[in-house]
Amino acid sequence: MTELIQNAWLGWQAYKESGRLIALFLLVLLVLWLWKTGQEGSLRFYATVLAVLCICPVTAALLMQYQTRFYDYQWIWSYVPVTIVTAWGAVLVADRIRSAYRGRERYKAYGLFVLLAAVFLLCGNFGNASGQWAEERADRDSAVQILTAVTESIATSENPHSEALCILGPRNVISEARRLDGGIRTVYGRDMWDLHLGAYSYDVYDDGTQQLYEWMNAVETSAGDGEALASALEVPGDEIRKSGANCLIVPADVPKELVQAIEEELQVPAVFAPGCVYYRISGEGGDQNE
Amino acid sequence: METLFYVTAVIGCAVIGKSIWDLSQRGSSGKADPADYVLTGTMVFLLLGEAAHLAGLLGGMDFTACKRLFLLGAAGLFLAGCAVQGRLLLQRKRISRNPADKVTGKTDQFDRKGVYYLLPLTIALGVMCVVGQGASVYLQGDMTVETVNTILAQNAVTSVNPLTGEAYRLGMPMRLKVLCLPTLYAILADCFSVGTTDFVWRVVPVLTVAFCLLAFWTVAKHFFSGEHDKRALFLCVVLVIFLLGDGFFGMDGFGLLHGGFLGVTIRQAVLVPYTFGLLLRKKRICVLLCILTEMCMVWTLYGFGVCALVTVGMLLTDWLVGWWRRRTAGKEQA
Repeated sequence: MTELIQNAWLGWQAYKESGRLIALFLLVLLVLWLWKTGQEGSLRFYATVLAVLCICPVTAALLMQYQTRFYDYQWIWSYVPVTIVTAWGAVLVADRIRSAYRGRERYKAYGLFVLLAAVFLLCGNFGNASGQWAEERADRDSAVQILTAVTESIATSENPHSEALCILGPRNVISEARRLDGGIRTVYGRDMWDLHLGAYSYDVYDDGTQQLYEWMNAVETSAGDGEALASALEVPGDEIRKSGANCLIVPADVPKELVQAIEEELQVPAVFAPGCVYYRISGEGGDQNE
Repeated sequence: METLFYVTAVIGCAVIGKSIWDLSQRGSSGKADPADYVLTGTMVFLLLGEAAHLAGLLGGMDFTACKRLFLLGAAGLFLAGCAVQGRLLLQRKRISRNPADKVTGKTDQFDRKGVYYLLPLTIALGVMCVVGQGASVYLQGDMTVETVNTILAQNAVTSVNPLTGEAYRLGMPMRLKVLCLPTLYAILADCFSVGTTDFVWRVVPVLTVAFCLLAFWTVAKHFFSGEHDKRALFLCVVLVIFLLGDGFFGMDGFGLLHGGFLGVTIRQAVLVPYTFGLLLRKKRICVLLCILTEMCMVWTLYGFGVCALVTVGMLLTDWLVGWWRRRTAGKEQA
């Protein structure tokens, strides 16, 4: 329980830093209490009580228990009608300003409206508009291209796979594989690095799979990092064969010595496809460079 | 096909929702709003999806059978809704043949006041266009597309781990297994021949924005009866708050803009505001639908989630405020 209370307090600290929308909500709530419009007293009272419960660490911890530990602190604010009350208060304030300044003094009302709008905008957080999303999109597109290239290459080779592909590859390829085609299998999934996904299953990865994931991380960074390259050159051939993977994909920019080291360890030739190098591990023999 | 889906969804939901409201109000739909019809119909469809999902999960039916069950149920409800509307229309025509029975009075006129709604509708359309591109989807902690693809590939509701395609060794929690959204998305994507990622990341979030607006409309209509300018401003401010909340995971706006397909977003943006809208208008029975729908979409404490707590909280507050006012009025009289 102490840990939960501490998490609740830290959650509130982080939540406050997200912008000032919560501060705006609390300000609007104060204004509504001061004006006491006579309408919706129960909504005002409910919003106030729940806001206090969400801020106070002990009651916040209880609310977090209620919503189950699957969700983090910020979700307890779902119980508070933040958007409804803020919007309601904003409309009442705007209406009062409009009623107070009529006729020749209307310009004062317009000035106050602009000020209100500025306060609103300054309380918000538009986020990292395009940069972060563009990067992720590019990563996903690159993975889709690689997967498409590999599957087409295998399909048109002399010995196309009769069984479903089971892929061991870089993070972006593993992430996209199951989104592209539900028939493709992977040695491990995104839950290997995205801990939130770990809650969806009771299964855990064994040491061998963990080793493969660490090896793939080294392979991905081997192009610019000598230490990573040294680690990647120790190819875990036995683990790769045991994992059931029948297609190993590595980025196209890995050093040549690593490509050769994998070939020697797995006894299968490297096949070069757009954006990647892949190896077919099922032992039926692959094609040479295409 | 996406347009066909949108049109079918809205019409289907509206017909079923209106029929339910008309029957519950004994043929008089005067106090309900078209937003209530669409939202109620949507929740009914979600519950139907849950029924189909449970048939696959607990009844051992394969996905094709679940899809057939859902489509039969949806068609049955739609036809029943049409029959109810047809009967009510005939009843109203019989009543309206007598001029003395015509109801006259003030109605909520949209003709000239409709211009107030241009701004919020424009902002909403802009948000839908952005969301409909699916260019900025937040995927941390989410595996909806993988699950939908797995359901379609395996023709089974829960079979293998969606993240790897391998069979589960220890399984997944039952509390997660009972959630129906991936199955419902799989059914609809398959029926309307829309790609999985397109359906989940683009089509569904656009609908979520639309339903969100409808939910807040019910609140606006209650707060500002007959005042279209204030209602329109309320909706504008709501949309601006969503845009301002873009930068922080967990804020209303972030979910709506970057994860409109998630159960938590649909709850936050649609169910919770609609629950408040129903409670403020004292339509308490309908709140049960919201609670049940949340149960089917989001991990809750044995079915008790946000909508349930909000309902209990608001009912308690209503009672307390009423008691306080009666006490204060009694003292003043004394």
